[in-house]
Amino acid sequence: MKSDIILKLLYPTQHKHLSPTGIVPVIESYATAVWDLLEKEGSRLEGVSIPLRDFVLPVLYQASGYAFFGRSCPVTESYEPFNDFDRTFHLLLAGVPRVFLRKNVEGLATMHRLFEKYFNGPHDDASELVLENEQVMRDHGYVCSRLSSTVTSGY
Amino acid sequence: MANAPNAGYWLIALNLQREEGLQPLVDETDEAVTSWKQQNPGQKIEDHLYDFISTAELPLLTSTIQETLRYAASVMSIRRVTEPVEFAGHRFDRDDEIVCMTRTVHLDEEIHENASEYDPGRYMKQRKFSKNGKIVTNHSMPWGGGVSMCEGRYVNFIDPCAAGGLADQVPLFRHFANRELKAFMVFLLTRYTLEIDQQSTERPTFMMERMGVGVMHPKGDLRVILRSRK
Repeated sequence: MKSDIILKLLYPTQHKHLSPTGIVPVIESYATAVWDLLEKEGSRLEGVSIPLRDFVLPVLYQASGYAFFGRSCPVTESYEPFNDFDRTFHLLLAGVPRVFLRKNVEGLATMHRLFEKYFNGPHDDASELVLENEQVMRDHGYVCSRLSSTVTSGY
Repeated sequence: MANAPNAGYWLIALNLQREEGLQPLVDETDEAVTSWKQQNPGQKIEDHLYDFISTAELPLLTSTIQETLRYAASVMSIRRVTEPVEFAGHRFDRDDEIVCMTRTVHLDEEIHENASEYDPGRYMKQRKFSKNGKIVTNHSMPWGGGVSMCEGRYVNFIDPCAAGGLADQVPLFRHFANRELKAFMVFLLTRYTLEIDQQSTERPTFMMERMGVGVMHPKGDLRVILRSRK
């Protein structure tokens, strides 16, 4: 039943908003976000020697978050938990038991909590892709905790 | 949100370690800015970011993005056999799983000349790739392929690479993540200079243990200095 919702409702919604015209607002938001973030980071890091990773990765992560989820997306708070999850994602895929991947599991759980809070708060400026997926899921009885993990899984 | 940041990292890291650094990309971006300003007198790019990104001709940046993805991406597409089949001289039975390693295509010397070398201008010099006399259509699959291709596969609007002489590569460059990288690099290069901190000696390598999971993470790093352009 739930997988039917994903296949029959969420995927078509996703495809519609990633279509030639559907994606344009996301790209516009992304362009503005990355411009603003570069300005902020540029002032903060002017002339300072920094690891390239600490400059590039957060800017690109945050700009994508803002483009899809709007400015209330918890991009700063979710960055480290996301990295904790992502850093050992390959081990999870390889079948390493979760008990050996504590930071990975905790990172994912923190992401879910942060996005659960996000979905419970105002986020009208999120992309139509996220808003419409959210509406479909709410209409079908998904609670926020499940909603946060499903809606965010594709990004 | 997972792969594009690492692709952006490698684009900068790999180019900074080349003798000419980011300068060829800076020059191309500057030309695009000048051209846009001539066509839009009195306008500021920051008020027309999407328009600028959508119309700027940036063939070198486009090629550099594709080369970075060829060089740094490692994706496994997994397929389950539904009916017994013989393919490429091998027999597969129902429920067998086939792992398609796209990186082996990316690094195939018979498809890509000097495949082990990072060549930002590769896709400006060559538009069609072949092996054993046959055209290889899927010579670049950084986001996977087929039904399990990354989410942005349906993105499809007129892209500057079409005007930049890379029409054959357009499907790849319709991907959202490619445009993310383009916007990031253009805005970075128009406003800042980035150079390696000569005091640091550490350089990044690919985290090979993440083979098959997307754009590879860096192992190690390099220190850089960011400055506003005058």
